[in-house]
Amino acid sequence: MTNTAFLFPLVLAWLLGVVLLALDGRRRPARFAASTGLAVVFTADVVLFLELRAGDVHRVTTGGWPAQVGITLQVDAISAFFAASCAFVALVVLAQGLPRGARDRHFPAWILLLTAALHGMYFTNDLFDFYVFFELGVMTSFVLALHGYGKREIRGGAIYVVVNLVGSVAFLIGITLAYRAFGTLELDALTERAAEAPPGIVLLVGALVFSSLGLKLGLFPFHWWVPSLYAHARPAVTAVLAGALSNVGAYGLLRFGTTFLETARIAASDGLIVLGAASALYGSLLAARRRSPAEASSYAAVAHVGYILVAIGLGTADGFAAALLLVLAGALDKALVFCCLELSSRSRRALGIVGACSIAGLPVTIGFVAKALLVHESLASPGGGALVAVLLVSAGLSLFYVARYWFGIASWEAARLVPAWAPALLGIAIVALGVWPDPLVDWASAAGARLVESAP
Amino acid sequence: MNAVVALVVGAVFAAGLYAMLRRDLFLVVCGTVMVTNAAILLVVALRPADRIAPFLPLADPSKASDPLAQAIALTALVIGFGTSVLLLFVVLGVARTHASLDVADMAAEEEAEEGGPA
Repeated sequence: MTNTAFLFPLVLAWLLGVVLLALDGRRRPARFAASTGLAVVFTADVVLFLELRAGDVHRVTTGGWPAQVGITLQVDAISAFFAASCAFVALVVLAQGLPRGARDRHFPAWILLLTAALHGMYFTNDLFDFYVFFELGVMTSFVLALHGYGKREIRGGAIYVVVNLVGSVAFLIGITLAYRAFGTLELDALTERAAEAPPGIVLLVGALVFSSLGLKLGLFPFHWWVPSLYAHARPAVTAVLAGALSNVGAYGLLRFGTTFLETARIAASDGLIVLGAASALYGSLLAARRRSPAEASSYAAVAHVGYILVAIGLGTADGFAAALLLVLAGALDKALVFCCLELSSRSRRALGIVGACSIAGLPVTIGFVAKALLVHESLASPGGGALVAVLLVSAGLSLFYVARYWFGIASWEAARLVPAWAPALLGIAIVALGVWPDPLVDWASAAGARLVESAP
Repeated sequence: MNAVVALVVGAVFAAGLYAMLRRDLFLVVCGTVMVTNAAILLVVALRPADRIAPFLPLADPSKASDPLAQAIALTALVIGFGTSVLLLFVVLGVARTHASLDVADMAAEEEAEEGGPA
């Protein structure tokens, strides 16, 4: 393996996306090229993950420049983990539309470009490079959110577009200040210099980056665009935005929060836990109250990111491990509940209930494993009793969400019906990882421990 | 000099925010563009005022300003163009489907379609 071979998934998704833009995505060869390409991207991500799972890193600085001048691209197991989960969700969404054909010629191309943008964010070690791919992802997600360009999509999309642009501006200002204060944008050098810097500037940069990533995640005080987008966009689009794109926020919080924003994360850890718990409670409460399955699921997504934030706020090795598992569980189950809105009513119920149970954290699903680890870790933290009580109340409320989804979905009118085999893959993954989670949990604990150790 | 730049950035940012909070969707878009440009202005303002442009050959390399900040500003500008075009397509879409650019009209129509606020 040459030293740049690890960039293969990023380059493939990007090039294929660009080529597909010129082709008609409704035609069979283009659709098959897109899904085959995505399957290759996913396989390459899994291979990278398996290769790097013990903690190794692939890294290259572009153009043969010295580090900090050229852009540093880097992959470790956590990047590959996030990349594989997003590629899997994108693959399922694309495969779901495959047999009947996409309605719009560019849908496969945008899915691939979104995958490329996500890979770019996960595969970089440079803050500005992250911003560029972040914007690429934001733009492709705008196009996807407006996909169909009907009244509903435009209304939901308009709020999403404006809100996310404000988030991007906050991020840009954050990295500008970081560059001004620390004189570099490369993460390793930033981490070294930030550790010696006065805490005020780190906190300021941290607040800006956190607001921007929180907005992207759809966290409680920044959540208001989530239901309007998820309930109005096409189900396939929502599945890929909720399952793949929103994890960028979690990745950013994990990556930056354990490197150059470490001091800010530790200083704000109580705040993160309180915000996360509030998000979990508020999301579950509204998910239990909304009648439409799409809207209830979008509030369940708000609750889900609350759990992730609590896990990151705990800041222990197993806390980070729980965050990683929650990210994977969220990618699979959110994508599944939205994908199921396009199935026939019988398979909708059979599959959708698996996703809803995983979101609610019921046993034999990956969601249960992730939340059990989170509750276990919360108990050990100071003031853990109250935190666990909040988490359990939220979990109890999400039982109502499961009921809502089960009964609401029967009356949901699908715009079109597609075969169930592709979403079934998500369901199988959720249950398989729920039944046999040991290898994944072991890896996540080890990865979490490495994140704690590597911190300055 | 720093105070002037800070005031200009602040003024553009404030004007942009004010426009974003209006009811007219077109003003919202203008505000978004202004806020983006305020952020880019901030990037440009990173350059200390006494430096010279970093073009080769340099008379005095120690006086050259940091080209990376300018590369960042250029990239952010190009990205800003792209997002502005997308935003204008949203405005166009709203104008076509709603026959109004008033955000309150959109909200009222949504409530009417879905049987009142849930």
